[in-house]
Amino acid sequence: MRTMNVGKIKLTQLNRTDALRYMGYGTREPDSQTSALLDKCERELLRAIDGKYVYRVFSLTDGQIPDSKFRLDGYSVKKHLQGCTKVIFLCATLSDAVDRLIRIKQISAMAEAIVVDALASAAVEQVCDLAENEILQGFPNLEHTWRFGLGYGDFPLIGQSKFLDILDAPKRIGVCVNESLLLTPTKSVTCVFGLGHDLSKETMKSCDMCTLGGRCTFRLNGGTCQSY
Amino acid sequence: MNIKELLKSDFVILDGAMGTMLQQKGMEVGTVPETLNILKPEWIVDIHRQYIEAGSQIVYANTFGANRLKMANTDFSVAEIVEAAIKNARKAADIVYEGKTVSAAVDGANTETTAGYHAAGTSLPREIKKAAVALDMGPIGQLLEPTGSLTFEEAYDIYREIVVAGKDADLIIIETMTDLYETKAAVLAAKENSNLPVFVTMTFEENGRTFTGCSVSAMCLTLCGLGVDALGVNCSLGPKDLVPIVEETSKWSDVPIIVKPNAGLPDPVTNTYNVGPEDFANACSSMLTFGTKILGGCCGTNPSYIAALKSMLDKAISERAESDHAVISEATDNSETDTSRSLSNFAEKSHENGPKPSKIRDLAICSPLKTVVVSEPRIIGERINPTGKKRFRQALKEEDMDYILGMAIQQVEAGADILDVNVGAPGIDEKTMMVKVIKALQSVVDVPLQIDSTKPEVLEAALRVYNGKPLVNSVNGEKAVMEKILPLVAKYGAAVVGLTLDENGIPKDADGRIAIAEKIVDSARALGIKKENIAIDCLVLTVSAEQKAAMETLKAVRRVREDLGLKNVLGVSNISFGLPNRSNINTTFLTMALSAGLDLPIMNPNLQQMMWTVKSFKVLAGHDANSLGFIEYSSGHDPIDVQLTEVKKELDEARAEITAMRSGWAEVAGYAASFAGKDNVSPAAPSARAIPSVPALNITNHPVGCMCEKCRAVNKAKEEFAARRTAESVTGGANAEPAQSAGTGSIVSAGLTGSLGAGILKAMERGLKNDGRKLTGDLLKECSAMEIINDVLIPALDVIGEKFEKGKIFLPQLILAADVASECFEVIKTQIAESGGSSESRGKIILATVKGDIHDIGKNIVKVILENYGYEVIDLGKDVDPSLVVKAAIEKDVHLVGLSALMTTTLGSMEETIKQLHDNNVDCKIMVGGAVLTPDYAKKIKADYYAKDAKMSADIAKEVLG
Repeated sequence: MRTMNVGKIKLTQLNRTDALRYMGYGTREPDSQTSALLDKCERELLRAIDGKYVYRVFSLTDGQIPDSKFRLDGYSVKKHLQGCTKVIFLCATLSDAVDRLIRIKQISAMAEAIVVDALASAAVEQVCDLAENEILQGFPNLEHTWRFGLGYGDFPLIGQSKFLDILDAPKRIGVCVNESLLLTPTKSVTCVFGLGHDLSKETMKSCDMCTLGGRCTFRLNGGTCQSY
Repeated sequence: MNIKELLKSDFVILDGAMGTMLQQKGMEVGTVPETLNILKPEWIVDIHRQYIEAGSQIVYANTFGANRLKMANTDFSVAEIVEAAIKNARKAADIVYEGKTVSAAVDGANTETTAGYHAAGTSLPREIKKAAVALDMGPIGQLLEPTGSLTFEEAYDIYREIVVAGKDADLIIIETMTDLYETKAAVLAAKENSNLPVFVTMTFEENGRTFTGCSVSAMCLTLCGLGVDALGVNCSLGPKDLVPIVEETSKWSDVPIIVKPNAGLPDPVTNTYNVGPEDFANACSSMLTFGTKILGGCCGTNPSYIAALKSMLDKAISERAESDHAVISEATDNSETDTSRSLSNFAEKSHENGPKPSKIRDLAICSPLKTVVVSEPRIIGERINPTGKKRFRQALKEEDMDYILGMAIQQVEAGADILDVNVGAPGIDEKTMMVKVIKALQSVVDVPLQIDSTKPEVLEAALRVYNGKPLVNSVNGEKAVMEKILPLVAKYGAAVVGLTLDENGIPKDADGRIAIAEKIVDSARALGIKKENIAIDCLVLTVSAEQKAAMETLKAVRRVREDLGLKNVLGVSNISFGLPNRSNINTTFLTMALSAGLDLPIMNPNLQQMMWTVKSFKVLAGHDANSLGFIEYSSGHDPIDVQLTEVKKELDEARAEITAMRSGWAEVAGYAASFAGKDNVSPAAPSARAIPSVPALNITNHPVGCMCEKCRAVNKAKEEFAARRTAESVTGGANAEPAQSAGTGSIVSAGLTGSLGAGILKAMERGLKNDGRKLTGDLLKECSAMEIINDVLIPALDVIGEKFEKGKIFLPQLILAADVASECFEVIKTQIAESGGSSESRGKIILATVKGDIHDIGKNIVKVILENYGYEVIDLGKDVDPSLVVKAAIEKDVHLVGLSALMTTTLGSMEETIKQLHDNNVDCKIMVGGAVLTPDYAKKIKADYYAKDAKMSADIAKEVLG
């Protein structure tokens, strides 16, 4: 069990497959020009990323956290956490230097800005993956659900600010929210995942729940994020 | 309670955590703690009481997050919460004070029970003091611009409200700050709306930076400049990890240092912290060496930590008293100690036995990310200045921030340590523009800025919004000028350049200039400006006009350094005005000036000859240890002669390529011809020669983005129409028939232009900016700007756009090509500006990322493409209020507005913006785009067009504006 609720994640390479998908390449191999851009941008981005996360573990009673003003509301998250005895609140970020790099690139080289932006979106998921692994080491005997993002399905995004306050995320890792409920630094993620025994397969991701609908880049290529 | 009096004692004890104590009392997860000031005042009073009894001399009222944004979600106003919080803290202080007074009266000369109130370490009877109450202000909870959406001015106003509500406090403490900009807003709000002392602590990570990258030195330079009474660190790390940060603080701070660490970090399940009271106090004791005077605890601490801290400090004082007794005669020796700095006597003395970190006493300025100490020559980049630059003036007039920012980034990459910023030009509102440019600059460059204006109101506006400690350029010896400008420098804690001229002009000789420098120094110091914050510009006169003046300037430079002990600034390139081969005169003069004592050359860092001079000088003068800087610079920059060879080589290659293209542009032609052989579903199948016309099917009543068979057919026909038109234009009339569809009447004749056009297309496809620039330059010798734009650049962009639409290339490649096109346009724009003409635009388009949305990369991509197509884009930026869009559309008479939103949460703002445009009967079409938008939704919110990507926005612009 980790004794501190904050952690740092050091990435050494970035997920280009995801980045290419975000840029509309689908599953196609990048041409040499794009590969060169990816090389350069990955190098610069790895220098800028300061991966951090903060998390807390709560017990669940009837799908809610006792003595808490934070409600796990909405059909989708309730279903997602069905059968779970604990829920983990996680917030992860690549930090402010990444926003800065993207700003600079938008002035000096817009094509690189696009590549950095896509790579950074992939990177924040990588940080979450590694954070999740570190956290789960503390619960070797429990099964877990996948990470369910705030705002996903009908899990209200309106809880974003309270969620961050509960994690003390502004103080611990510098993540805040603006009045439109967007996270800053922009390459940040808030999510929950459940822990329990004999969790049902129902907690698999489903396209019905997803707000992306017809614009999902996985589905455009004939797959889903589950099959990917 | 007199805080300044309290600061004279050896140590001051603050309180511990409020949140941790509230959790112990049973506060529910997710409660807004400040509401408990009203809902559970007895809890709050009790917590303060416990801290005071444990030894706290200052308690923080429970107002950390009591700002209007956070209180909006509660039933209480800021004023209600703040007033109640201060009352609660005061009540606790009264309770303990009255209890102590009673017990003191009973006990007679009290020595034990009140020790915590006065740890002065004297043997005199201790005075009983009441605990002081601090108004506590934490971060607002939203990030400021540029990463966030809150403006500096809004932040100031939010803090102002709290300061006004907290007028009954004894002092103001601004804590747990991570953003220097937000901290500056809070300090200004505190100092401009109250007379209370101001303490500030920021929160650092192990790397010595805050989350937003602010360094310890930047914190100290900026906050000491603003006149805070004490500063330091709180939260973030446990006390052990804070030691190096406190050590660094002691090198830079002029005021007493505050340390308020966490009790380690919290457990994810129990939320309890991992450092106990004794370990906490012991770790804090190691920070006393560095002049730490004010101590307390942050997250995870409770009264037992404060009690442990107090006994540690008591012990330290008595040990100190013993060794003082032994060496009492030495104690009065420290005459150098400046009382205004009021660092702890304890700290001064305790350094007798160990090394004390040496204070940095050179001129230093900073941005949050970068501190520049002028301990060796530092380069001030001079390019952000419209004087003599028509293209720059045009950029100012058009508020073309990207041009100015591009210039800034270029100078920093070339090696500028500081950037001079001057935006004064006829017809420009200098004050508004200065604020805009400074905010934009500090969002992308990390070097500190030199604010350059002669107008006090411009300087003040700039000093206010500058994030860090800037250099002000400039004041001079004229009495009226000093009276206006020096108080601003003092108030905002900047450094200043003093020009050696006054009412009588520029003195001819060095003596006269030194006299003026002395006059400026005296006036500045009288206002509390420290000597190290003044640099002198002895003024460079043009040597071709006044030959003797050069040596006189250098003589003055030497005396400024040797006699006055100040730093020197010079605008170097003025020296060669009116002479041929200016760069030779410039570099020679630069060498002489550096040798005489020039510290801050104002120059163009893009001129490598000048850069080599500075780099070489640093080696020879011993600044560049082991020549490492020179070697590093050499690895990135070839010597001048090699560069020239390289340039020649590139030119030769470019020529060879052009020749090859002339004979072999069949590839492009083939691409065009490929359309001719294809099956066509469009009603008007184009022949190989005839220019196709758009089918006459009427689909105007169909929804935007409709996918019915009719619409698909029309769209496909449109695409092919566009492609053929493009291909024919680019190939310069490959089919030997002049095209008339583009509306330009004629295509520039085949042959050279066509080849160069094909060359530009190639350059765009390969992302070769230099080639694009060169080829455009060549074209300009043959044809008019409009011919190049309409017959070469736009058709080439169409070809690239086609490939993008067909999935042959992808977004980064599209934009690489667009970047090359931008370079080509830049060549054309510069030529037009220099020849005094104005660029012709195909029409104006407003672009904005809607209110609340801070993701503007999508909008910026669209902007690049639209500008490439020759439209004048009025970029309103991100997070744009609907009313501003309406205002801009009306005032600037714009008939196409593009709105972008990335998140579902900001689609409402998009709808509102469209509504306001309609409500105000603005005569414009509206196109919308963004990741979460759909054609249906676009229709629903009454947009006229849905643009699925940047290319489509250009098609829409063509349709609307032509």
